[in-house]
Amino acid sequence: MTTPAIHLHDVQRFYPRADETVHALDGVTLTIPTALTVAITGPSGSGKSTLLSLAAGLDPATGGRIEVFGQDITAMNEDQRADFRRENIGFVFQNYHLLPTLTVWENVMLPLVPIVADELELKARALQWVERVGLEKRINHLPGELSGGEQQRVGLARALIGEPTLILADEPTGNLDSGNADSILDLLFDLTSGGHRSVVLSTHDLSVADRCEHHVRLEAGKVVSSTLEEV
Amino acid sequence: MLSFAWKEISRRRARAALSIAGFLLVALLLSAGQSLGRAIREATEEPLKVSGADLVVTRTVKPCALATVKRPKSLGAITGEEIQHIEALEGVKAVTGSLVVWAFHDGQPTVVTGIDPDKIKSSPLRQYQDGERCCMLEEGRLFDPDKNETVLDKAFADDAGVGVGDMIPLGLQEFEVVGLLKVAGVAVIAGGQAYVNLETVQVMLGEGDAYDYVFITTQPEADIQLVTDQINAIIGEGCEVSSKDSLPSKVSRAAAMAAQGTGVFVGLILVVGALLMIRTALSSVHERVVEIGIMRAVGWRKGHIVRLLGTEMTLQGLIGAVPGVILGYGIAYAICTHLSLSLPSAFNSYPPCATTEPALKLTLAPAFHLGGVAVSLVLTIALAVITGLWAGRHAASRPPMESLRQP
Repeated sequence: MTTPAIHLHDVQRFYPRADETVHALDGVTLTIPTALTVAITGPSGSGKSTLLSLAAGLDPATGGRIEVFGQDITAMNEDQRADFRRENIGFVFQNYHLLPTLTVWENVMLPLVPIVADELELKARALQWVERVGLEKRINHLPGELSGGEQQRVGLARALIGEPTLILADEPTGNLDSGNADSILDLLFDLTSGGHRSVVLSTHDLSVADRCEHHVRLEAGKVVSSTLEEV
Repeated sequence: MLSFAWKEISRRRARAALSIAGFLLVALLLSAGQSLGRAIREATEEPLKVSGADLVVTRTVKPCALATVKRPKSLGAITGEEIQHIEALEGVKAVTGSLVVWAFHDGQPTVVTGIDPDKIKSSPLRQYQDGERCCMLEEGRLFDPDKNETVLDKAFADDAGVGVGDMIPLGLQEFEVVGLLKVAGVAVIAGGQAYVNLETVQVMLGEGDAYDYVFITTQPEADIQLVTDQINAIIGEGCEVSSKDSLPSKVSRAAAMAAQGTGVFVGLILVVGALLMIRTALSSVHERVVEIGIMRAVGWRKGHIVRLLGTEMTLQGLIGAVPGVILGYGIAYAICTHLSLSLPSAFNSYPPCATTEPALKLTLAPAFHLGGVAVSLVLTIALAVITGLWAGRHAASRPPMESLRQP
């Protein structure tokens, strides 16, 4: 049996608040094989974003174990998770999360800045990905000068510059109109196809979810249904 | 990382300018404080350097009665025997005595300084032969100790209308002017209007083997405080011992604080500067919390964040420190130009009615000192580095998602 892309075992994430504890994830056990596209669906507050951020090691789990490509990321410290994330995972945010003072190509190369000393090489790789997402004419523009769709393309290029084997996209089309949403999804699947890459995206939009091979539905922090059980 | 840090500075100009201004201010204050302190210390040390002595001893007494030739003001006599006792002290290398008197003629006093021509290396005329920093024999020669000859301060000679070859009355005697001395704008301890052989002045005064200024050169390893205490014990009541450490407080309280308080001032600047810059850095980190979260999210380690912020602050420190040091030196120069410091009254042997001014003005000149510049630059940049690293650690301490959730 091949190593799954993501394996969550009884994962919990609680957030203490003033009068209560929020159970964002409440004992989730889930296995996502490699080289698949999976949509995590559910209503708002069901834990979709939390699941992705835990899988990416952006947030520490309150309990349980999370393995990504066989590596237990819950046992790693923050720097180890950062290294793992940089080498294996590309994360696309709903709000794009671009650095406002950096240009398009500078934002794209951001993940590699601390580890690639040769600035020319860095720039060459960034330019390559800027061209692949169709923004070669906007290369020196700042995020504030781009549309939502263009900003998300930059986010996509940034997520892919490290050639990761796992792409996690948190509501990648959540802030886009339908036209831009379709083109972003087309780009996402086009850029990740044929490379044994796994794509896991969260969405509340069923039309977006239908473009993925599998669905996992969350409600109130629990998995209520999953087509992955058939794999 | 360096070019990345530079991009952040060049694109957030307002924030960077504030930080750079802070480092400029720190560097300016460090540079100005050090320059001023050193200038005052050097100015107050100069009179001793000019005379070639480490210590100057005088005795103050109640002013004596009127006489044709008398000791100035409240200067008391120090005997030759007392000088011999001082010469015998451990740590004392050489001792020279001078005698300054007022010699009246037609009711007008002339300040006459008696010096031993064999001990010129430690006396008010020490450097007259070198011609630098003190007294240059502009015309003529030094007096012959066996004759009634004198070397005059040129300003006094011009005022009196005499030159080389003329006769001038000093007290009840006439002296031939054989040389004219130009004092090069420095403060001279025991300086006079006329310089005569020491023994001649002692005869004029009529008190035997007496002096009123004693110049002492110490051994390099001498315990100055011990030597001072021993001199006090020999001279007794009225003894005043001046050294390069005690002169600033005799010049003025401000001079003493500037000369001796430089270390405290530097420490205070660094503490206040550090608090100010840490506050600025934390404010910057707070503004950039989401951005730092993004960097962590795409795979930057804590150490990378620390390095980035440390590099940014170091660059800002460097940009602020260089002009700050230059401006600080300029401010110190401006202050020194307008500051007027003089030797204390104990060293002023001129009567109020003297026809020429005594050489008492201390030269304040903040000379460019490479060590001082280096210290100011290094301390400012070190402050920048420490502030940046501290801010970086603070910035990197949050989990990425927590930073990204900030509004």
